[in-house]
Amino acid sequence: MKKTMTVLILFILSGIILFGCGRPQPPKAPDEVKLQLKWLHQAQFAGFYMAQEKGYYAKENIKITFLEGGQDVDIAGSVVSRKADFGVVTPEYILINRSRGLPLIAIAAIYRRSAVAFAARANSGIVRPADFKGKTVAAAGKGGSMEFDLQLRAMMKKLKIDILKLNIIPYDPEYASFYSGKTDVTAAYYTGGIIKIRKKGMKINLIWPEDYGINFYSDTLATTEKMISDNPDLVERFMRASMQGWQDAIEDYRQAVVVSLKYVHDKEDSDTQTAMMEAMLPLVHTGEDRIGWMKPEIWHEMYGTLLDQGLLEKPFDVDQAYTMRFIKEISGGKVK
Amino acid sequence: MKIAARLTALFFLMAIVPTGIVGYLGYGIGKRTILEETTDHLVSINILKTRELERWVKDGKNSIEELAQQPLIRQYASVIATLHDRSDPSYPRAHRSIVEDHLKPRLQYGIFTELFIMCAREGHIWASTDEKQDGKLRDTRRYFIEGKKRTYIEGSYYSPSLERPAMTVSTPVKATDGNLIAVLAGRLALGELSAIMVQQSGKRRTLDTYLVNTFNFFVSEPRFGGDYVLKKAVRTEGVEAGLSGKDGFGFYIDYRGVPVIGAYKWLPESRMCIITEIDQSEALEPVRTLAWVLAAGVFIILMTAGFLGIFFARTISRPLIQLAAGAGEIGSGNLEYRIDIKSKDELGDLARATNEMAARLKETHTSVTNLQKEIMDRKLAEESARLLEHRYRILFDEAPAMYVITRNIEGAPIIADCNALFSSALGYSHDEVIEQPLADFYTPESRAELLEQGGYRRALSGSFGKEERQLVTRDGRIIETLLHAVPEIDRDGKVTGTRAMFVDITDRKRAEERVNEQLNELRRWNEAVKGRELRILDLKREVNKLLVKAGLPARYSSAEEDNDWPV
Repeated sequence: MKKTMTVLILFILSGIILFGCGRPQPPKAPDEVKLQLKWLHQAQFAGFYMAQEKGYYAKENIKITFLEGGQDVDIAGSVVSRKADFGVVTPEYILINRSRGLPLIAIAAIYRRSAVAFAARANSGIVRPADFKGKTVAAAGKGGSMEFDLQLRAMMKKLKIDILKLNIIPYDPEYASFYSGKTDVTAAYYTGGIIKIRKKGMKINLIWPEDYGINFYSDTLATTEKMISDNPDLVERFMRASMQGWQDAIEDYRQAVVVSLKYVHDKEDSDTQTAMMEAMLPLVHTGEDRIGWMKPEIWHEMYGTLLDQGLLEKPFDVDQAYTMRFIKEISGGKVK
Repeated sequence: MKIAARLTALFFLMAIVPTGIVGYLGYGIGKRTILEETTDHLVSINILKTRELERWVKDGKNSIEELAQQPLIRQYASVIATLHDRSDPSYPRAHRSIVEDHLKPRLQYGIFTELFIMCAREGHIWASTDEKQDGKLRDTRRYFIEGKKRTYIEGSYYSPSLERPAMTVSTPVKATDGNLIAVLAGRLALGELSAIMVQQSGKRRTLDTYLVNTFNFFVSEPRFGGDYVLKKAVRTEGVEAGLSGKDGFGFYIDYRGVPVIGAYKWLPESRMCIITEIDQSEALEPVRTLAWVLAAGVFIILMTAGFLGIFFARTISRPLIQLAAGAGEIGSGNLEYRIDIKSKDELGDLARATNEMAARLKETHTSVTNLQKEIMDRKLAEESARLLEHRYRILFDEAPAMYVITRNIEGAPIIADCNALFSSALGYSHDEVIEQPLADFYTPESRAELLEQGGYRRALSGSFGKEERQLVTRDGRIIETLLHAVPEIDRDGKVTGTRAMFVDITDRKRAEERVNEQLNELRRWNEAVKGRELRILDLKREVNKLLVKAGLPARYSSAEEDNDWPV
């Protein structure tokens, strides 16, 4: 009996030495991930900053690098070319690139309401799209401002207003002609231009395309199909960390501003970042469902609009342009 | 330990134990009661606020339902629904009538901030009290979708269009034939909601009631918030419990990071939870006050008990100390000392008894002293007598003469005592001699001198001188003695016998006899020697003569001749 016990103890100890006390596994090197931002560092990307500052990326064994966007940066192209692994991309560009056969795919909607709005002076009498007739509207443009023109046209079409009755001029990010009164209506992002205009002290009426049935997403998180097929685990981990960062940013926007100020170039511009963050809240968190959640009908609506505007080179299955796989996986399938 | 200290400690102990127990129990009961009252209060507020909220919502629902059922509303809505051409004069008339005559007057009640009616088919706003809203599409809004079916309230959400939080109640508007023609909706005045939540009775500084939606966002402005509605999430223990459908209360950290007591309640209809909290520091203030009051009470009781203990200890111990000192003084022999205690209690009685005892002691002290002195004198006398007796006995026993004390029994001496020399000289033991007639140890001649010739009588009368007597030993040997006897007198002066001293003169008698014999012999020898010496002298003289004749010096000097003669 005693001998049996001795053998048993030795066996257990051997097991502990072999499996428990053996050479420790070297920690796996973190996955280096590059995120292409849509614009320069600002609170618009607060959720990603929060994820980084709170260690959510590190927890997922991800080493993140933020690539700033800009006037001349092709955001979608950066992701497609694998210069960046993920990108904060306008959904219109995802659809346009897919129509060109480029495998961009949205994995989450950050701005689940479009930040595009049209501003008119408060005393102009312009309170709805019908009032745009005969007015000068600064909305035309390419690149980052393409969605202004797109949503304007979609809105007018939906309201059966002849677009030709509008004097559409190029969008001016400085709003000089709007300030001077030469422009009656200007497109602007609610999270950017509108803040800038109001900061000037101007009283404005806001006309939201969404109020007239134009439901677009603004910022979406996109990657490539190859990334998803080759490294779905990394995509899931990146999503989990990023969405947690956004959740934190939305739940405490003041802290998000503080964190964002670590990244922005003008670190003194706390007011603008705070205003941007406050403006973002209802766009990111709509009160309907989980942050990042996407609705097929909105993708279909966006696709239809682009197709209608002739911006898509060829039709394709819009349901291939987005995937709910990862948002569902990280949320356990819960909508809210 | 001194009795005063012991009494003081006893008072302290007797005070501290019950007051400590009572204080502890009182504190525990008080704390529990206060906490129960606080939590009950918080839960009650939740119930009250819930009812107010329900009443507020119900008012909104009732109001909009009542509005939707007004015949003119239904009539004008039907007009708008059937008119496709807005240029038709009936359209603006119907529009104006709805807005100006029905919707805007309803705003005066303060329940709604905006009322609008939507096309049931397309979802766009036909008419609104806020004309900027006219024409906006609301077909995807839940309040529109649900409002087509029933009266529905959409929880607080942030409306980018309005740029503020909104809560919308909607209800179907049906034509007289029952067909759905429009959806009437009203924006509830959320300021009123926050006012309901914040409105407090009483003077609680930190009492805070607020609503949180299922996304953990504030729906009403908390007391210490700063534009938190739908802008800040809260994930406290109470909120999480409330959102999980529980009703109850707990102790946790609130949205400010402050420890609070909070009550939470899930509101299923609104899909929100209501939270009522109060800072633990304020809620427990009465507990702390109670603790201080109890501590102060215990302290005062202890101090009072201490002072009373000291007072009573001194009251009791002072006469005791006086008694002890007095007893010590009296005990040390100062029987003049009197204890000065005039109290009428037991200690006074004891002091008086001690004083009386001292007085009695003083009275008896003199006789005792005398008695002691007498005893001492007697003891000294007895000691002297004993010493004398002892010396006498030594002298008696060790005297070189034989002593005999006789008792006169009818004129005959009976030996009452004798010394060792007497008995041993006669060859008897002491006991063999005692109580024997003295005459038994005399020779017949001496016995006759003793009795018949009146020797004993003379001794009894004190006229006996010194006479020789012959004693006979056990082995018949005769001891010649010289007797001297005197009467033995008792304490009463009565002659009881004699004291006789026999001196052994046997040797002297024999020596005398021998001397006499030797003298006789010497005389005879003297007579014989006397002729021989004369002859020797003659011979010496002849020798000297012969020597002189021979021419030789004489051999014997004349002196020698003279000195050679015996004296």
